[in-house]
Amino acid sequence: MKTEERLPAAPPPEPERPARRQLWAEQLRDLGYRLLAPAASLIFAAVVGALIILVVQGSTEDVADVAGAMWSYGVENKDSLAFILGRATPLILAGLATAIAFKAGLFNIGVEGQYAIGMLTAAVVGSQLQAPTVIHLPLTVLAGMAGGLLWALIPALLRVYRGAHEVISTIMMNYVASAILLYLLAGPLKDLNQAGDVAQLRTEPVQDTARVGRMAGFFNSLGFDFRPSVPLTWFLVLALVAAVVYALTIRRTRFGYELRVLGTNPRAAEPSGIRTNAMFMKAMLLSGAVAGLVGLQEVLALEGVMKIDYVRGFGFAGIAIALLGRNSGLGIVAAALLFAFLDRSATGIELRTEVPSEVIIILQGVLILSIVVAFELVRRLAARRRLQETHERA
Amino acid sequence: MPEIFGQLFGIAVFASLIRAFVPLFLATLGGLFNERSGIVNIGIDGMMIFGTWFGAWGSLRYGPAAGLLIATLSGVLVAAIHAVATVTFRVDQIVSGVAINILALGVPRFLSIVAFGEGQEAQSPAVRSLPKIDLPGLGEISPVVPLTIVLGVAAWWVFNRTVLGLRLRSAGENPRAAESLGVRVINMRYAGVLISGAFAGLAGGYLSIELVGQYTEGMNQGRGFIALAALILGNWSVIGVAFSCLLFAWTEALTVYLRVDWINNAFIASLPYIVTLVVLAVFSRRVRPPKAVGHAYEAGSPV
Amino acid sequence: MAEEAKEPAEPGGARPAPLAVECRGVTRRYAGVVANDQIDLEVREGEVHALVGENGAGKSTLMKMLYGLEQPDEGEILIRGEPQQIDSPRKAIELRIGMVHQHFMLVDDFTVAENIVLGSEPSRGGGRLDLEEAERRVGELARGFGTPLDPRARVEDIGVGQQQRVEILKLLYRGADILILDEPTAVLVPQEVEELFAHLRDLKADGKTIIFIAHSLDEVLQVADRITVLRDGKVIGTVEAADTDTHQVAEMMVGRPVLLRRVEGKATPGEPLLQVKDLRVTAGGKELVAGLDLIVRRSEIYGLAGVEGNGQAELVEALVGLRTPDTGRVYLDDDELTRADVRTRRQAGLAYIPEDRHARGMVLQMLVSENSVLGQHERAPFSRHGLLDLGAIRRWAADLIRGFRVKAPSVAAPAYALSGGNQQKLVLGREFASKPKLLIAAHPTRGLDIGATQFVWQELVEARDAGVAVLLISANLEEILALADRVGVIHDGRIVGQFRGSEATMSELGLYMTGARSGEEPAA
Repeated sequence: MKTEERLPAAPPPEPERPARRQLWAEQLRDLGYRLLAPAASLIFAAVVGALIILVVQGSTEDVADVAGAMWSYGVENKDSLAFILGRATPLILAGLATAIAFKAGLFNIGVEGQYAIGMLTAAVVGSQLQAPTVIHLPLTVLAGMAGGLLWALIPALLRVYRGAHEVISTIMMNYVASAILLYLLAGPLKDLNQAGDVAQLRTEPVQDTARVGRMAGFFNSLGFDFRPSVPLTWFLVLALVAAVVYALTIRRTRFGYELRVLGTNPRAAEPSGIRTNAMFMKAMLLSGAVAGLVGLQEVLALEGVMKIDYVRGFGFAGIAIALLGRNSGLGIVAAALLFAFLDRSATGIELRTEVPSEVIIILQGVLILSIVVAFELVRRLAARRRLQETHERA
Repeated sequence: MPEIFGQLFGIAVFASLIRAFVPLFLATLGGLFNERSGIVNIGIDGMMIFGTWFGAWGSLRYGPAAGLLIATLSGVLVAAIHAVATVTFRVDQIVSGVAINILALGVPRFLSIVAFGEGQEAQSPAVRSLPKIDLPGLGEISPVVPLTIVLGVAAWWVFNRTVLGLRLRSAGENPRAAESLGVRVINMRYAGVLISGAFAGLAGGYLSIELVGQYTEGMNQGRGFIALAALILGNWSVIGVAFSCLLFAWTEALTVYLRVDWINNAFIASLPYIVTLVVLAVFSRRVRPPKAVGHAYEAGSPV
Repeated sequence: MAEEAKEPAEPGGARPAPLAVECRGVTRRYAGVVANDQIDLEVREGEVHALVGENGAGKSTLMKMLYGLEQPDEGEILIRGEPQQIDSPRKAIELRIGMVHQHFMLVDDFTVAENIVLGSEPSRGGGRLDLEEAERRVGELARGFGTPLDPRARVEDIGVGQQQRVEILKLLYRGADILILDEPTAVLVPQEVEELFAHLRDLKADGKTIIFIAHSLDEVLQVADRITVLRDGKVIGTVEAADTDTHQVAEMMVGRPVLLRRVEGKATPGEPLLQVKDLRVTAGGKELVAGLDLIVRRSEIYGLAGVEGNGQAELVEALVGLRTPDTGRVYLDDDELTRADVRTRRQAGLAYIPEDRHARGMVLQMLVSENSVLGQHERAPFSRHGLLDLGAIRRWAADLIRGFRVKAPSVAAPAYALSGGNQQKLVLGREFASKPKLLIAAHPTRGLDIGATQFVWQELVEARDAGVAVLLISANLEEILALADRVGVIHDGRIVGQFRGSEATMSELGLYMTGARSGEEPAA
C-alpha cells in the first residue's frame, strides 16, 4: 500500500525551558506559600484567644498575664522541654495514624477508640505473659498495635465491602469501645489484688519485663537538667522513628505512591491498575495499628496499668495535628510540638493567672478551623499565580 | 417471656421512645436541609452540644422558653461558621465538620467555668423546664414534642410543596443547572446549613432543658452521628427519616429498660451504636443521596 | 433543503435587517489569557447563525457572556438594538435569551415539568409550588412546538434526544426568542441531527433567532444562514453559508490549509490479538452489552462507531478490567482475561487511553515524573522490591516529554503546572510509550485542538505500523473513517455492522448507528 498524503507537519519546536535558577526561586516561593498558611492561622488564633480573654475577663492585663505565663512556664521553665517532648510523643503517633488514613482519602475518626483498645490489649499481654524482656516487650507493643488494628477492622470492612462511610462507623466504634472498656475494667480484667479499701477500675500492673523507662537520665547526660520524674520516655524515640518511616514510605515506596494516587484522585487509581479495595484495607488497618501505639507510653512507661481514667482526647488531637501538619512527617512532628507546648502552657495559665486554662482549648479549636481555611485560601492564591505564569510563558 | 415483651414494647419504653425521638428527629431534619442543599454537615453533633450548653445557660438566666430560643440561635451561629467555611471558602466539608466537633469538645468547658464557676466545667446547675403537657397513659410530655411533629410536617411541606424546597433540592442535585436558571445556589446552601444549625441547636436545648434538666458534659452521646445514619436509612426523605429515627429512638429507650441476664449491660448500652453500624452495612449501597452533596460549588465555573 | 428566503446580503438593496444581538469590541481576559479579543459580531433577527472555531478559540466564553454567566472586560453587548449589562442568567432570561449547554443542565431526579419551571415556578401565594399548573403549561408548550413530552416523566428515564428537547423547552417556556445552542449535535446520531435541524427551522419560521456553536462543518453548512469563525479569541470573518464550503471555513478556523484525508498505513493486519466472545454486561438492571463478539488483529486499527449510550463505555470497562462481565470471554493472545484485574491486563500488554484523561488518567497534584509512570509504576525499572527508583522514573519522564513534545518546566514540576493540552499529551504519550500489544483508545482526541489531534492520529498510525492492535472508540465519524482499517458499529450492546475502512461511508454508518440496519458483513 502506498502511503498517501502524510498528515501536515507537527507543531513548531518548543521554546527553551526556563533556567534552573528560576526553578529554585519558584521552589523557594512555594515553600513560602506553604509556611504562610500555618503562620497566618497561628496569628489569627492568637488574636481570637486574646479577644476572648479580653471579653471574658474584661482586662488587658489578663491578656498580658496569659502571654507571660505561656512564656515563663512553657519556655523558660527548665523542665518544660521535657514535658513538651513527652506530651508530643502520643500526639505524634496519633497524628501519624490519622495522616495514614488521610493520605488514602479516608477519615479515621476512630483513633480515640483504637488507642484505648490498644492500651487494653497491651496491658493484658504486659501483665499476664511471663517472658524475658527481649521477647515480652516487643510482643506487648505488637499487642497494642494489634488492638488498634482490630478496632479499625470493622469500619474498614464496612467501607470496602458495603460502601459505608468511615466517618460514622469509626465514631460508632469509639462509643462501643467506651462501653467495652467499662465492662472489662469493672469485670474480667479488673485487678483484684489491689491494696486499700477502694478498688480502682484498672488492669493488673504490667510486669517489669514489659515496662519502658523514662528518658530524663539520658537527656541529663547530654547536659540538660531535668527532674528524673518528668513524663518523658523512650517512646519518644519510637514516635520520631515512626515519623521518619512514614515520610520515607510515602515518598519512596510503591505503597506510598499508590496511597497518594488513591487519596488525591481515586478515579485515576483503578484504571492504572491500583487495587483500590486492598489499598483501602491496608491504609485503615495500618492507621489503626499506629493508633494502637498512642496510649502505650501511658500503659507501659508512665503508669504501668490501664485505668478507667486514662488520658483521653489524643484521637481528636491527632486529627488536628494531621491537618495542621498537612499529613507530612515533619509537619506532624512540628504540629505535635506546638500542641504539646500549648498543653504545657495551659498548666502555667492555670497556676499563674486568673484566666481559666481552658482558653487553650479554644485556641486549639480556632487554630484548626483557621488552618483549614488558610490552607484553602493560600492554595487558591498560589493556583491563580501559577495560571498567570503558565499563560505568560505560553 | 412476657417480661421481656414489656421491656421491649411496654408503655414505659414507648414513653421513653418518644422522648428520645425528639432530639434525634430534630437533628436529622436539620441534616436533611443541609444535605439536600448539597452540604455535608458532620458537625451536627457539635452543634447539638452547643445547643445543650446554651440551652441550659439560657434557661438559667432567662427561663426555659428563652433557653430553647437561645439554644436554637447558638446552633445557627455555629452553623454559620461551617457555612462560611464550606460554601464561601469551599474548605473540605468533612474537615470543617470535624473541626466544629473538636471545638464543641473544648469551648463548652471554658464557657462552663466562666458561667458556672471554678470547678464546674463539666456540668451546670439544675435548670427550669417548660410546663409539661399531661397525656393520659403516657405521662407528662414536653411541649417540644408536639412542636417536633409540627416541624416535621412543615419540613415535608417545604421540601415537596414549595418553591423554596424545589430550589433547595436543585442546589443539592445539580447546582449548575439551578444556577443557569437563576437559582442562587450559594444562598440555598447557606439556608440549608443555617436551618440545619437551628434544628441541631433546638435538639440540644431540648435535651438539657426538657429531658435531663441540666447540662452535663458529653450528654449528647453521639446523637448527631446517629442522625447521619438516620439520613442514610431514611434515604433522605422526611418520612423515611421519621421512621429511621423511631427505630433509633427505640434502641435508645431499650438501653434504659432492657435487662436480660445473659446479655451484658455494656452490650445493651452500645445498642444504638451497634444498630447504627448494622444500618450502615445494610443500607449504604442501596440508597441514593442528593447527587451533588459533598462537592464544592463555585458560581460561574465553566461547565 | 432551504425553503426560506435568505436575507438579502447586498448592501444598498433592501433595508438592513434588524439585529437581535450585536457585540462591539467585546473583550474578556482570564489571568493573562485573552479569551475574547475585540469581538465584533452581528446576529440578525430571525437567522440561524453558527459560531465555529477550534477548542479554546473563545466561542463558549462569548456565549456565556450573552447568557450572563460571565461579564466582558471591555466592549458592549446590544440586544435588539439596546446596550445591555447581562450580569446574571436571570437578566438574560429577562431579555428573552436562552442557552442550551453542551452538557445538559438537567436535574435527573426531577420530572420534566420540574426541570422546565425551576427558577420561574408558577406559585400559589405564600411560596407554594403549583405543580399541576406547571405540568399543564409544560404539556401545552410541548404540544404547541410539535414535541410531545410527558411532563411527569423523570428526566433520568427519558432518552438523550428527548432530554435535549426538554432543554429547548426550558428556553421557550421563558419566552426566549434568542436561542443559543452549544454543540447541540455532539450527542446525536445523524438522523437525530436531521430532526433537530428541522425543529430549528420551525423555530426560525416562528421568528426565533438561533445562534449555535458547532464543530462539524458539514452540519453547520446544512442549517446555518451565516457563519462566524473565531480563532485565538478573535473574529476571523463572517460568511454566508451559501457562498462557502467546508474547506474554506476550516482554513479560516486553523489559519492554514487543512487536509482531512484518510491515512493508509504501511502494515497489513496480522493475527488476531484481542478476541471477545459473546460478552454480556449488565448495569443498573439493563443489559448494556448484549452478546458482543469482536476481534482486533495486530497491526490493525479497529474503529468502533456508535452513539453514546449503546454499550461502548461498558465494553471498554469490561475490556480494561474496570467492570466484570456477566458472561462471555475476553482473550489477549492465549491469555484469558475475562475476570482479571486491571493490573494483570496491563502487565499482559494492555494500554488504555481513557475518555477523560484528566479525571481518570492522571493526578494533577502529583509531579510530571510520577504521572509519567502511572499504570506501570509497579514494574521494574520503576519499582523494585516495593521501593521506587526515582532516578529511573525521572529518566523515563524526561524521555517521554521529549519524545512527545510535552511542554513542561521540568519533570519535577507538578502536573497542574502544565497546560491542559500538554497534560493530555503526557497521558497519551505514556500509554503509547508503554509498548503495549493492545491499545484501547476511548475518544482520544476529544477536547484537543487540530494540531494535537493530528499528532495523536500520527501516533496511532505509527503504533499500528509497529504491530500494535488498536481499538479506537470514537463518536467522531471523520476520525474513524480517516484511521480505521476496519469499522464496526455498536448498537444496543452488539456489533451490528462491520466494514472495511476504505468502504465505509458516513451515511451508511449513520444508518447502522441508529439501528435502522443491521447484520454483519464479512470482515476483511
